[in-house]
Amino acid sequence: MKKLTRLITAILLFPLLLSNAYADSIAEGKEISFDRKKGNCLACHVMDDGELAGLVGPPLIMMKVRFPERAVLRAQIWDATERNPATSMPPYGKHRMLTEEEIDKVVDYLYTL
Amino acid sequence: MTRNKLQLVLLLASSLTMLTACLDTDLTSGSTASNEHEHALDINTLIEQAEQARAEAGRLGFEWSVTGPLLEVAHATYKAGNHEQATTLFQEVKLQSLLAIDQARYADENWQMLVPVID
Amino acid sequence: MKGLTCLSAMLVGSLFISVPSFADPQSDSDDVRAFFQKRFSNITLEDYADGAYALNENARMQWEEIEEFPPYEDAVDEGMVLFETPFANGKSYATCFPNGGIGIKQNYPKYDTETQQVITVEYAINQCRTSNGEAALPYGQGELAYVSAYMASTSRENIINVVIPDDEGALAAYEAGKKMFYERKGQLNMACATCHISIAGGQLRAEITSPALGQTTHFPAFRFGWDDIGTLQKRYAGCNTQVRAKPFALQSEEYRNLEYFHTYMANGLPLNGPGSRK
Repeated sequence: MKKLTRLITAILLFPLLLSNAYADSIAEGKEISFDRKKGNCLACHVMDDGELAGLVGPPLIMMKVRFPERAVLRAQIWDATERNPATSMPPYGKHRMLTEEEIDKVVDYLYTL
Repeated sequence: MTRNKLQLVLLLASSLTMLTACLDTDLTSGSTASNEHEHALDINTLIEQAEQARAEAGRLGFEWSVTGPLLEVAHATYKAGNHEQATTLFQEVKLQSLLAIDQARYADENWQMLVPVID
Repeated sequence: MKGLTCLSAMLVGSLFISVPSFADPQSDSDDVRAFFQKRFSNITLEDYADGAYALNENARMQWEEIEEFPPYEDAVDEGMVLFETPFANGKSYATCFPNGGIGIKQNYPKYDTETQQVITVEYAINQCRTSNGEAALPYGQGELAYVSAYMASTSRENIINVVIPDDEGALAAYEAGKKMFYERKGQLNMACATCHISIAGGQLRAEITSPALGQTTHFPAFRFGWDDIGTLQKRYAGCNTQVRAKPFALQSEEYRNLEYFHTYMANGLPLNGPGSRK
């Protein structure tokens, strides 16, 4: 019975661990997005509670509706010129401004908007 | 009971694996004595390639402003004896420079794309 | 019949190939103006000399207040003293320029067909110094920028008149400057045209990106970020660095060509330098 309790605890703990990691990822994603030396998304996009946001790009809202496929949103951050060669958006992944992990975190964060 | 124990161990192990993966720790070990010689050769070739790519990007007028300072750090790291990290840095210099060279090629073909067209 | 088809195909093909590789500067300039006229239909050509301040009433009012006590005034005064102080050989800047260097900035950059290169005012200032046995001054800021600022102040209201002579080298220099303006560079993969054509007038953070047309009218400029007066090419280097591209040397052939293209675009606009910018 004691062992069973431990098992249940472990089973309950596992998703908690995961969700903690996910929450961390979202928080880090936000940090990366707002950091002027990293994503600096606010230079062009209104998003979340960001202050002094630019108006050049579309506001980053309703991301799940606008980008139902995660891969499409990720690709847009990785290299927006793929979809629109005349875009003004920097290719964050292709040009190594953000790492793969950082982009994943930014995507996690963007999907909360 | 043993089955439960096994399950628990597996569960904890998998959680731990997940956790370590998420922590993003660099688990790569330092080079061993047996491949020290080969490694030295590799890094010298890499340094040469990185320097050459950077020079070419500069010649084309497309060098990135971040590449030069990175190269300095790479050299300093190498001199300090941290070959593992120096390798990563020289690789980054090389990759950035190759991307800048690609940019120059792309610009030669496509620079007129942003010229305003009046219809 | 087949031969005829082939022949006409070749003719059509050669039509495409024979499109001149050198664009016509006048039509380039017309296109840029038409583009901006469409985007900002409520401002006149002269308004472009005021940069982003022509596009935003609030920013404009703040700027006009600043201009009531111009932060560049000391630099102009110092520039005048430097300009009038004779070199060791007894000659002065006045002897190097047409009209004694007064009221002539609207004609720069010039293309020198003899040496086959673009001559900016700052480049000419240093040429004047070295040909008179004086050491060249560092470009970008300091004494050279002050002399240039003084020369600009004597040329205020004059209408920009950059000439591209019918010369292969001059057209090539213009074309190189044009390419430099439109090609994407740096880790951010942005061209001058990205901010100053594509998204010109747009808001980046709290700042409005100025239209390319008219940017050259007010340099050397006092920029609050510099806390000093600086030259147009110092700004070029700043722009390059902002998109993480390694800047060229000030007054390099690349930047002089860029300035040639960039200023030609503003032909017909009044000079209003030195100016102040945020």
